[in-house]
This record gives sequence, C-alpha cells and structure tokens, in this order.
Amino acid sequence: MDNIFLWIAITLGAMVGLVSVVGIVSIYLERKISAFMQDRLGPMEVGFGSLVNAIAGKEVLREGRIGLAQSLADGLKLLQKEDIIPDGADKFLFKLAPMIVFAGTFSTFAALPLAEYFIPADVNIGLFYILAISSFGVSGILMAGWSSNNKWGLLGSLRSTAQMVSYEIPVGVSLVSIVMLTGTLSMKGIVVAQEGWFWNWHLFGAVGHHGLIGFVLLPMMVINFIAYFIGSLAETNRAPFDIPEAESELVAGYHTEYTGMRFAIFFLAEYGAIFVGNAIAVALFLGGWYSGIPAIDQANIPGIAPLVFILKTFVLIFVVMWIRWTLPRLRVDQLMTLCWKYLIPFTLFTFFSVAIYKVFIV
Amino acid sequence: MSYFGDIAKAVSTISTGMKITFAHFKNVGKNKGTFTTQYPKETLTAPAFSRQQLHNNIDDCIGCKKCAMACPVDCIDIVTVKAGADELSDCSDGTKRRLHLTVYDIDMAKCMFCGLCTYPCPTHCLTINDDHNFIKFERSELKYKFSAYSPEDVVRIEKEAAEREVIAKAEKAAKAKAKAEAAAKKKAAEVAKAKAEAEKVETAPEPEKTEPKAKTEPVAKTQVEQVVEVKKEEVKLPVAEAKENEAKAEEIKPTEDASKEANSDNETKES
Repeated sequence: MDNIFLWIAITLGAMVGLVSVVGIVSIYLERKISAFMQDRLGPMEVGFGSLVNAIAGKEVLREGRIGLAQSLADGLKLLQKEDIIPDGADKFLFKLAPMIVFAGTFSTFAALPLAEYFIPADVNIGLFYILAISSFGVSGILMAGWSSNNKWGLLGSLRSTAQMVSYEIPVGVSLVSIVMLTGTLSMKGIVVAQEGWFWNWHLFGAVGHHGLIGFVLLPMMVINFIAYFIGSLAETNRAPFDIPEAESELVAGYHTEYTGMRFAIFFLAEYGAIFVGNAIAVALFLGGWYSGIPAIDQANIPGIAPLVFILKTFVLIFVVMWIRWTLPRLRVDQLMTLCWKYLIPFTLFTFFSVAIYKVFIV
Repeated sequence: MSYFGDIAKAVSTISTGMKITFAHFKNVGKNKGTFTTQYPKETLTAPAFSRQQLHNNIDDCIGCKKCAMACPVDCIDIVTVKAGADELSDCSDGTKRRLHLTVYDIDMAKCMFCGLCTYPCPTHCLTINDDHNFIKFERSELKYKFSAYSPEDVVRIEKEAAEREVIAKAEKAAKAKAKAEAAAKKKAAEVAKAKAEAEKVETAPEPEKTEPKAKTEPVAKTQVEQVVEVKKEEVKLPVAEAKENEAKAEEIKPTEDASKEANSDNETKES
C-alpha cells in the first residue's frame, strides 16, 4: 500500500510539474512567436540574470536579454492579485469551474505516452479515456460562464460548448481510423505500431502494419491528420476558432469575471489542453516517441524518447501559434459550416476508406 | 464544383497568409526585422526643432518676466529681488543683470509645449530642446527649479536687499531734503535775482529818462514813459512764470519718489 501511495504522489508531482512547465514554456513561446510575427521583440526584460541578481543583491549574471523568466514573473504577479468574486455570481460554481477545467486537462496527462517507460497510466482504453476526459472541461467552461452572471461570460461559454460538442465528431472519427488500423485503444500500443523508419508513421499510411501496400492510405491519413488538427484547434478554443473568448466581441468570454490565480488556472489549462491535443496528434500520426530513424531510437540515449516526443509536440504547437497569429477569427456560422459540411464528410470518407482497406485489401 | 473550389481557395489563401507571417518571423533580428525600440536602453532622437523640454540657462537670465507673460498656461513662476551694484556678473551677450532670480520654476505638468515663451527672451537663455526623457513618478517632480540659489541664499539675498533698501530710503530722504533745501535756496536766489533785475530795470531807464529831459520834448517824454512801462511789464512777467513753474515741480517730485518706493516695496513683499 505504501508503495502505491508513493507512486501516486511521485506521478502526481511529476505531472503537475510537467503541466506547469509546459504551460510556462508555451506562454513564453506564444508571446515570443506572436511578437516576431508582428515585427516586435516580445518580453525582453525579465531574464534569469536579473532574477539571480535580485536574489543576490549584486550583479552576478548579465541582465536577461530575451525575457526567459517572463512567465514566472507573470505567475508571481497573478499570485499577488486580488481574488474577486462578483456579488451576483453563483459562488460555489464560480470557485469550482476553474478546478474542473484544470482537472479535465490535467487528467489527460495521465495517459500521454511520453516514452515506452514513461506513461503514468497505460490503460488499455487510453485514447478513449483522453477523449472522454478532455471533453469534461466543457462543463467547467459552461459553469464558469453561467456562474459569473455576466452576459459576456454566458455567451462565451455557450459558444464554447456548441463548438466543442460539434468538433468532437470529426476529431473522434478521424482517430477511430487509427484505432481500426492498430486494433488497440492503448496509447502505448498505437505508438509501438509506428516503430522504425518515419514512413511507418500513421501520417504516411499503414506501412508499419502491412508493408508497401499501406501507402494506399496516405491521402486518407493526411486528410485525417488535418481534420484532427483543425478539430483540436477548435476544441482548445484557439484562433481561428477562439469565438468563446473573442476579445473584440466578448471581452474575454467565459473567464471575463475571473482574476488572479483563478484566471491563471484557466490560462494554464488552456495551454495544457493545447499540449495534450498536439501530443495526441504526435502519438497517433507522427510516431510518438520514435525519432523516425531506427539508429537513434536503438542507441539507448537516456531521456531521448520523451525529448523527441516533446520536441515533436512543440513543433506542432508552433504551427498552432503560427496559425493563431495569421488567420482571422471565424464567424459562428462559418465555424459550424466548416465542421458539419467539410470536416465531418471528409473524416467519414476516410473512415469508410480505412474500413474498406482493412476488410477487403489486407 | 464550388465545394472543392472553396476548399482549394481556402488552402491557397491560408498558405499565402502563413507564408507572409513566416517571412516576418524569419526576419527577426535583421535590420528590417523589428521595429521595437528598447526604450530606456536605446532612444530615438527626436525630430529637429521638436519642442520637448524647456531649459533656462540661469546665468544669462535677466529676470524680465517676458516668458511668464507669453505663457498661455502660466506655467512659469518668477520672483526677483533687486541686486546691489556690481553684485551680479553680466550675461554672455553683455546685457547687465540687475535682479537676483530667487525663484524660476517651470511646471512641465502644466506646459503645453507651444514654445511661445522662448521667442520674447531678450538674452536667448530660455530654450526648448528635444530632450524628451523626463519621466517622473510624482506630478510635483515635474516642476523644474532653475534658480541657482539655495533657500539659505534666498534668505540672505532678501535680507541684504532689505538692508540696501533701508539705506537707499534714508539716502533718498536725505537727498530729497537736500533737494528741497536746494530748491528753496534756488527759489530764494531767483526771487532775489528777479527782484534785483526788476530793480535794475527800474533803475536802468533813468539815464534814458534824463536824455529826453535834456531834449525837453513833451511828445518824446510821453513816448519814453510809455516804453518804460511796457518794459516793466515784460520783466515782471517771466519772473512770475518761473515762480509758478518751481512750485509745480516741487509738487510733482515728491509723488514720483513715493511711487518708486512703493514699487520696490511690492517687489520685496513678493519675494
């Protein structure tokens, strides 16, 4: 029993650390990338140099020139902010909402296959679990908007719910194609199926399963990947699907009334959700922890597998940010059109194609 | 089909947009890459002739208050104290300075940066320059004090000026007294002179009178008498006029002095 509790404590600690680090790094990247794309410099002042100097009281390191500690400083600032709960708010739900949103994101980290030896919980329904738990956050968002007793908040949460419920379908259907190929819902099993050269990745068809004939599925899988990527953008409320928090229309959407650490938790949950969404894409389509070159994987370099996984995820996160700072926001009707008229037919087409391939060709 | 046409259009427009943002992302750090100025570390020079901050070269200021008069928002505050002779050095352009500037404050919080105060400055000591780095944490810190004197100096200067004034007043009073005496003497002398002249005039015609007597011409006599009477009147008139003028001058002079004293009193009170 002692061992189990110890194991839970260590895993929880590691995961909380991972979520926080991912959030902090993502926020820093977001600010820097957005700045560079808009010909600005982004955070430049708060570096670890100035942090160390402030602690030591004298100049030990040179001043930070690229603002590496900006997210930490922002976190410290948010900790000191006043925690305001509106008078008209439903106080219990108002306090509960950020916890649920964060729990929804945080729980999904449990099944993320960072490496063959580093999956907090390799359950045999891992993918199903992630999809189910990540949708759990919607209720938190709805709660936040409803309990704020604020028209912006309610509108934002309603939009968010409509959007998330709609986009569950293309996301789910596109992932089911992979599940059909691999025959397992275990995240570990899905990644292991893509071992070896990078053409074994599911993005390039089913070569890893059935040899060269697997290339037949290449267009299907590319469509699946793009559909999943767009769907995950919408599910994490990222631009161009950020109508739930459209700042020019709704102030800040469902977290309009939140301040201080409660707001920070929403923010952290959002970036955690982005990480999870892209981590699933990496695990299912881009070979997970495999670098795509067998020599590197077999060299037994310690820590290379999680590093490769996180690196791939951050490449996708860069694309997410790149999209955010390029494309304008979609209207609600355009959002629904994209989902129901384009993504769902395409993913259904690929779903049936993979089914036909699986039943008749192989 | 427009369905797939729409998809193709979406893909092409999205890729165009993504290319543009990525080009900007790539250019970071190059010359045309970023437009941010790291403000406290690097500053841009303000455009030529830009009006940013007022500066007064206090050594050249004569305290004429023309700038304060020109200011539309009354942000310049000047108090002057009369200086003693040769107490202050001349301006760099040779203008004499006669006033201590105990207060010369410019409130940049009130200033509207019109620059109108710099035009009337006779010694060109008040200038508006392009130094725009005057961030302060309190509004009161935006009140720039240009006076070269410390509060102790100001107290000393005011004391000295007051002492000088007392001395000057005493001197003035003495002078006025002396003047009045001199005027009285002069008056007396003039009166005496006039009297003497009048007597002279009266006595002078007598020899003339004798001549016609010798001729013994009754018609001529009467003519001479008429001439003498006319001359008497002529002599008397200028004397009377002079008397009247002097009286007037005595009346005016004391009032002028009084007004001057009053002015200097006001100035000291202000300081």
